[in-house]
Amino acid sequence: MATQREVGALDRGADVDSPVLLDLQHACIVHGAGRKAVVAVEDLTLSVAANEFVCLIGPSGCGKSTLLKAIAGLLPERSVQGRITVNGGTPTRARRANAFAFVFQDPVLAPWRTVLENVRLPLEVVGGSAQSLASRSPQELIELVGLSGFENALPSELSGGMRQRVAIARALTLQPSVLLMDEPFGALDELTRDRMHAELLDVWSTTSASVLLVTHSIIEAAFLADRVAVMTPRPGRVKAIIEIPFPRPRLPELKTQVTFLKKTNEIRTALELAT
Amino acid sequence: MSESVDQRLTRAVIPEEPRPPLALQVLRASRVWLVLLLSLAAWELLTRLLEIPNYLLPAPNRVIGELTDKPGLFLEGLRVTTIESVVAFAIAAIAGIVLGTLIARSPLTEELLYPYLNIIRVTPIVAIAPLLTIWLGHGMTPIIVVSSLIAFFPIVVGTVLGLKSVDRDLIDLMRILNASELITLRKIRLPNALPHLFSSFRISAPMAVIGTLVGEFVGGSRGLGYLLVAAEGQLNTSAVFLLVLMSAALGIVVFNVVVFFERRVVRWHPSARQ
Repeated sequence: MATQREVGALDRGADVDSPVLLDLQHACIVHGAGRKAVVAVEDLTLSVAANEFVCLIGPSGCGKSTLLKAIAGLLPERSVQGRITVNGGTPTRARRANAFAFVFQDPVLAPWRTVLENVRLPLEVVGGSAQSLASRSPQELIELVGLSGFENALPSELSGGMRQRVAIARALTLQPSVLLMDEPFGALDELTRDRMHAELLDVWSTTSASVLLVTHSIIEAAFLADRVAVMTPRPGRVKAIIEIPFPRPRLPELKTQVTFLKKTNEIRTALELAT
Repeated sequence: MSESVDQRLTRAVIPEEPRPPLALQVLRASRVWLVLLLSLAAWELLTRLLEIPNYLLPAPNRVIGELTDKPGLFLEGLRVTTIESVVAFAIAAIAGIVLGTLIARSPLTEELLYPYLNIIRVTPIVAIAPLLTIWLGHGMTPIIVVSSLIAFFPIVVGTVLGLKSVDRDLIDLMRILNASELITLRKIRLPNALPHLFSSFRISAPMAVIGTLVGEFVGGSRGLGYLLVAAEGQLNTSAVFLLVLMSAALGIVVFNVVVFFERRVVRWHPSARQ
């Protein structure tokens, strides 16, 4: 499968032999109840294949975060209409099977736990069955995100980028099949963000997870994704899907190439048409 | 022109201030205590010069004389009051944390209990202390009950606040991991509540000492509070002064024990960093 990523990246999104892992059919998400109810997402159809990287891009308040929560089975079932299936089952079932990991905009670390203890938290929660779920030890994951030597540091002793690396390492602890990321680099400065883009792709290439990443950044979406889903303002729905055919592994230099800039323009135009 | 950035940086380092002479250092370290010593000396001098009678304002040496005359009596009182205060604080802490947890985690408990807890809070416990003595006798029990009642409310508030002020995303993270309510409480909510809890301990621990004194005042037969009542009855003002000082010292010690543990337990919290 690894070779497929390197050479066949161009048509991975629509690949016939990669099964659909995450499927949303006419999903509709309502916040609150009665008169105060707000439709956050309306008639949204989107699918993510196994081992695919999809970015959701759209204006603020188009219900992207809500959508991620619905997929993770965090919202009450009555607020979700339409069909969301993960691995053929309901989101809640997938959650019970530890299919998901979530990376928030803020690192959301426990400030009293060291880096190692934060990365280990999912193992502690899952308990006895943990060993079978984790293919890599917390120590290995910390190394993977480049934080060796900081195992015993507290989050308050780290920079913003380092904290987000801890959050990514923690997300990979239980080998999720779906990695949900809600503007994970939104709070970082531009240079750090660039570095994190490359690192995320590196780390992801060692996993078998599908990624659904919400972002405001056109460059981020074009650099990371196999496909970019462009959303309309609230109530959010998918207005366009743009294939990103650049081969992997993608290097930071890609961002300066003309073909890349053309792609970002294509996304920009689609965004403007959607709003 | 050719010097490296490193060299220039080294040169730009601000020179360390020269150490002041030793005498000045000693003075700086001890000046707080000097104030105390000087005021005691002034107090001693004035009472002697103005020949103020002992029952009105005893000189410091008379106050210390009380302790050296009958050390057994006063130290036994201190021992009893310390035990009662510590036990009362422990009970208040356990009851406060349990009740606070129930209130924070269950809206029904909050609705049913909170108003009545508030009534207990605003009730002058001193007023019901005699009643407790009637119910529970003259031993340590009524005193400990009075003291716990006075000390426990801040702990309830601290627990509720601490458990509720947790990052929503951290809770969502635990839900994604299918963590049970108990595991979330143990791994996230309780550690998160510790700084608030210790803030409430700082308030409650000295309150437990005051509560104990109040209890002893009303219905005790031992302890600093009881001795205070006796000394006042005999117009033994120097003993009163001594007992007040001992009570205050106990409060200070208890407070600092809490701070000592707080520094160790919640080292991660911003408040622990200077």
